[in-house]
Amino acid sequence: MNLMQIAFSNLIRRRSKAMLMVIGIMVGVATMVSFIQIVEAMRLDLGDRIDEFGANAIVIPDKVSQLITSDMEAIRASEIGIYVNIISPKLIDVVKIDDQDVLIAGIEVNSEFTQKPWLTIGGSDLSMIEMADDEIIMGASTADNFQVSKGDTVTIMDKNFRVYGVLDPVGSEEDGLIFAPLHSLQSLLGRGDDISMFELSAYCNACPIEEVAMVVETALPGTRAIPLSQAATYRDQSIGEFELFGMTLSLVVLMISVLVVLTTMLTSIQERVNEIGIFRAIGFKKRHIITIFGVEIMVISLMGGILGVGIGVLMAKVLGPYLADVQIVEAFSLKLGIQAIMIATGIGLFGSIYPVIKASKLDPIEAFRK
Amino acid sequence: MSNILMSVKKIHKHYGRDPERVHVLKSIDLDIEKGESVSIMGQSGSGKSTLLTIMGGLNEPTEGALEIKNTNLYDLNHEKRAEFRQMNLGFVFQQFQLLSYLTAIENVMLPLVTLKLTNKEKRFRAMKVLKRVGLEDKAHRLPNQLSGGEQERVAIARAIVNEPEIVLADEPTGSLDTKTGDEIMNVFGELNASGMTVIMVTHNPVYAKYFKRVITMKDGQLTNLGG
Repeated sequence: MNLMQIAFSNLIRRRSKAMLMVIGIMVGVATMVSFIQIVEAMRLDLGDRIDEFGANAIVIPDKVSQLITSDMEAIRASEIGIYVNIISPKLIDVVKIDDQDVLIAGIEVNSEFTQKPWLTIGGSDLSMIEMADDEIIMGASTADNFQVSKGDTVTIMDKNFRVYGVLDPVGSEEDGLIFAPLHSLQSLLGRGDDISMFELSAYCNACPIEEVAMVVETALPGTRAIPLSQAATYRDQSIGEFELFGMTLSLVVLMISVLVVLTTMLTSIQERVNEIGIFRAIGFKKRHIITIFGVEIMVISLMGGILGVGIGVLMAKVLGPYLADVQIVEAFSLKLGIQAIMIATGIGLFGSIYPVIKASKLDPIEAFRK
Repeated sequence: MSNILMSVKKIHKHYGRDPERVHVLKSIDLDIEKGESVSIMGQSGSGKSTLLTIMGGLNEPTEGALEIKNTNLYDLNHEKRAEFRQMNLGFVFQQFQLLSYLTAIENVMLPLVTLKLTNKEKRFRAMKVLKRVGLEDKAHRLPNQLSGGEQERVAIARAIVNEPEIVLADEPTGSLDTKTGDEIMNVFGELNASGMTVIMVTHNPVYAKYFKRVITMKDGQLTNLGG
């Protein structure tokens, strides 16, 4: 017979109350575990979506080098190739139309408009369009300047191009550009396979863009890869805000669980005032009372934690796709299990610290008051 | 040479604040010698249970001192006082106060739980006192499987398992019939015969014959010191 046995006997005797606390902790842990998993999946998903939206690095040649189309393959084959989502090559030059200088960009139509989904014609997405070699897309300002519209013909360096469409105005440099298929501009300008720059969209969740840029520079000697700080800042800011939101919600859930344990423990101790009085009267010290309740709350917390992590993982897998449109890839892990037990213990400790101290200070005279 | 084991010195106890202040005990002076059997009698509200709790080191008096074995109990802090109770005092509470989720032997073992004894030693000592109160064959029953008299015997066994010098009992026969009450009184008599000092509070004058000294109380004051 020892303090542990008293605690276990009590747990068995008051199993409905103990189960209530186990459920309270389990709900808290399950909610937090599922929330942690869903938020983590959403964070990764959000990061990927931001990374897919526009470029997060540009690759340009140094003064003595020249980029060529096949350099794309070198980037894909490098060690960060798996993190690269879109590589959009561009040949940029100045051409004359009606004796006016105009910037023209040779692009790979699909990669360019997938990377920049905000470029549209009449609100329609351009990522899947097919353009003929003799077709061009005019920026809104350029089309306005030359008074051309869809279907008109524009002569560039003695070659006629049909206007595929005019981009909706976006208020950026794209408004003043003309877009032509890359190989068609390369032939028109006699530039072979030359490329002026690559715009990269890399997934930065697993590999920061600065690292991507360093590896690209190694893979393509004579180039400079410049991370776009604006994109990185926007990405960090958006994810940071999302994480803050997640953390706040988690804290609310945690507080509710602590309150459940606190109120149940207070009720339980109220019911056991007489018993604690007997313990104190026959010589139990404060630490002995704390030990009995401590063992009880630890057992309850462990059970709540173990059940909570199981149910939490299941909840995340089932609810993730419905609540947040994300798939939970990672199932149970040791790290998650340890986190869950720590959360459960934290809930148990925070919820019981006040009631247990209160119990340990109970007057032994309570044993005489039945 | 003085044989005084417990000395109650000018104990005063009141509850509440003026003007609702209630004076439960008024300047109580009492000496109890080693090996005495003492009954404290009085009507309900006379202050006898409060006096017993103060004598047991459970209830701090407003004024005065309690000396047991030359130690002023209320000069000790709560933890030291708990230790003193564990080593020197045994309590028999009203209505048995057994823990319903522990068997008879486990209830008896409770005062030994925090002592540095092996489980075997604890069990041996508990069984020894259960034998002494005639309950060795019911050691593994839960309290609700025992009669009122048997539960009282378990409570007495729990009070004496740590071999205290003083056993304090608060209305131990309050919920028992006369025959069972008499049996319990005989158990207390046997304890006293073995050298323990027994102090019992009761409002029933029938049980006075079992004690060598009968103290009476009224309105918080001792009206007869007995002896």
